[in-house]
Amino acid sequence: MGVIVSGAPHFRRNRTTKGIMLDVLIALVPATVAGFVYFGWRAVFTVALSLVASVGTEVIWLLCRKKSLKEIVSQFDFTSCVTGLLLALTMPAFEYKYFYIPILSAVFAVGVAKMFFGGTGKNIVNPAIAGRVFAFISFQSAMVSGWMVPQFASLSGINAVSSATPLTAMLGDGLGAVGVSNLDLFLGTGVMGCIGETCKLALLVGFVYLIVRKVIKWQWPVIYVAVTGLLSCALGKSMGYFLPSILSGGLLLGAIFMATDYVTTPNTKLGNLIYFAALGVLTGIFRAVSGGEVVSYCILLMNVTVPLIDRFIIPRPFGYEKKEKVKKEAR
Amino acid sequence: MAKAKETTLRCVTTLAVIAVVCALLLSVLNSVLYVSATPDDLIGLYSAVDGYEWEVVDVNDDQPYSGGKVILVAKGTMDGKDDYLGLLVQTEKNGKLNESTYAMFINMNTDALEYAAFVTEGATGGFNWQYAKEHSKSGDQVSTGATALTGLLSGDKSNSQAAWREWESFYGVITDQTALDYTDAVPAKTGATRTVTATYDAFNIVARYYYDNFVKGE
Amino acid sequence: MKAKDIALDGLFRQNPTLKLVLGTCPTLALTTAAMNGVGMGLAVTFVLIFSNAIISLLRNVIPSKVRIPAYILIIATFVTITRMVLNKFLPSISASLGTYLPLIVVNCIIIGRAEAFASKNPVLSSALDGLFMGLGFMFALTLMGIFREILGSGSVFGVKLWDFSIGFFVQPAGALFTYAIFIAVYSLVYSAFLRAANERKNKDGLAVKGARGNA
Repeated sequence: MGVIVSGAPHFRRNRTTKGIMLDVLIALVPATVAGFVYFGWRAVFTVALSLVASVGTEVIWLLCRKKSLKEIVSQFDFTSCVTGLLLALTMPAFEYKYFYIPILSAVFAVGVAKMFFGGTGKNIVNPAIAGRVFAFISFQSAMVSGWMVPQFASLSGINAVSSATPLTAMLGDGLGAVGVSNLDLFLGTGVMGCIGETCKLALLVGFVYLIVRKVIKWQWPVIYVAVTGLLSCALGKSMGYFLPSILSGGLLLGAIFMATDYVTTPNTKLGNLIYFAALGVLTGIFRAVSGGEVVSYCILLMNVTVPLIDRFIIPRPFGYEKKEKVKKEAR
Repeated sequence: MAKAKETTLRCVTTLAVIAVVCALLLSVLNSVLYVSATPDDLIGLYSAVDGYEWEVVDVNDDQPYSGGKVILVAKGTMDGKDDYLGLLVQTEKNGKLNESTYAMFINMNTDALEYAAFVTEGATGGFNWQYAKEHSKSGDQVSTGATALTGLLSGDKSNSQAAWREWESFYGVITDQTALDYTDAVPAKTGATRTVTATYDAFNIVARYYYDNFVKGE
Repeated sequence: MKAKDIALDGLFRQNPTLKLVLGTCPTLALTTAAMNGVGMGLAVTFVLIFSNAIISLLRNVIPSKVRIPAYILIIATFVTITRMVLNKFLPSISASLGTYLPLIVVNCIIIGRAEAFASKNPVLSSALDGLFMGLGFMFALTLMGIFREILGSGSVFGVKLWDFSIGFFVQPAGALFTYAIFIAVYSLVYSAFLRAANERKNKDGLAVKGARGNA
């Protein structure tokens, strides 16, 4: 079982890593189903390969570490399922000839980013993010041009942007080039994108479920998204950028499901505030500079800074009272 | 005190001796290992002369040229096609700009200078010749050399010969200042200005060389 | 110092790349292709042999206060000679190594061996140490180059094997990853050897402390 490190006081609850991971999986169901509906069998294919490869990598690794199959089954905590599913949701629905991309990325995500560092709870970066970045720099052509137009047409009747995702179009040519309405972006109709990031409604349903189950705190994703949106407005010098910038690309998926990963976030409230605000700032700036989607890179970058944040922001011990400052008497 | 001085003296002497020996060794090896230009250096630069057979012509270095020297002259032939003269010109080191080598191709039937290219660039920043051409103040070519170059590039023998003659009298007219005007619109890069100067030197040298050895006598 | 020990140290026990972790800059930057590893390895070997020999020859002449500048002078001379030789005879390799060739001057392996070995040992041993350290460097770089080239470009020594390639491995991130994997595998093999050697000696009632010297 993974150990969750947090500031004092420590409460005991009947929550296990397994239970939390199951909740995350349930919260991802709407987005996954939406992806299947929008992108069809190719999405199912990508998700299935990624899941099988993730779980397979973990099992094979544990077998190599001389654990018995029985032990592995009883200790299985679904983290590799979450990794595999999240990884697939951040990828486009691949053509069948690209079968190796989800497999290799999942092997990299679970094998290198998680198991090499000691398994569940010990990874420095979010494995799914590492897997996506690996896929992105390794198979750039397939990851960038492999976009598929969803099976549902845009509600506003505009043809889907055929060459670039709405985000890259907006970053490149300004607001007018988005090509789809905010409602389209919200529902994902007629919008090209990764399997899981297209339908924002489904992601928000998952978000609400996670809040109700108290798996994550609602403030953190909201801070991340809001900072990114406001910064985009500031850089674009128009409030009209707010909705398109938060509704396009992988921002919501990243903010809700990936940036909030327990293992790779700071332990303290102040630390989290810094972490999520910095994520928003980085995403806003890098999007404007690079003209592409950068959420995964930003999360990866901030993941690495977490130990540093934890080192400098030390939680106040429970019951500790601030000493009143005593003025030095003049001699 | 005397001991310390002695040690210092010994340190300095040792270093000096090692440095002198190393420098001597390198200067001897430099002359042994010097890579002289071969016609192979002309291959692959200009598509019109692909597949040509190159034969080295002795460089006539009776006259020194300022700014650099011709290091290779080769005559290129191919059945059924015009003869070409390929020249390699090396310009001198100029401050932070190292020696640059240019290849120039002259069609011997029309006397037209058809193509010029960098073989090695002396500038560290990398000089964008095409950009300089497009953004120069006076259009396509710097004004002083424009007439001459138009003639050279025309492909017409009489025009070209006239141009070579004229260029010969232009020698020295194209100065650092014109080169500076030329680079005004070019983004600052290490050695850009000097690259332009060197390029003009190279053109001047080739013009003079070709005129002296191939046009004058006719 | 036995020649066999020097050879084993350079190639395996004290491998400059995998055990001493010296000269990492060219290791990370140049191993995108196998041929680069061979070229760089040979250049470093050449420099190492001669710089080690000369420094060993002068080890009683050079005052210890100015030994580092003196080493640098000698090393720089041989690096310049290497550049001139490569320029003359193997211009393509010289072009692909680019700026890393003159940077051999500041390569830690060379100054490290000068300081740790050549300044204390006779000429012949020092030259041998240079040879085998250089070869150890070359083998490590070439193996890493082969690994990265096959995975990252789908070719080996420039010969195309297939169209499939994983871009990660020819990028800097892949360089660090590959280096880590190689060090891990090396450590596995090395400790297995040590264990085997210890067991053998224990039978004879002798314990081995491990390899001579330390990094």
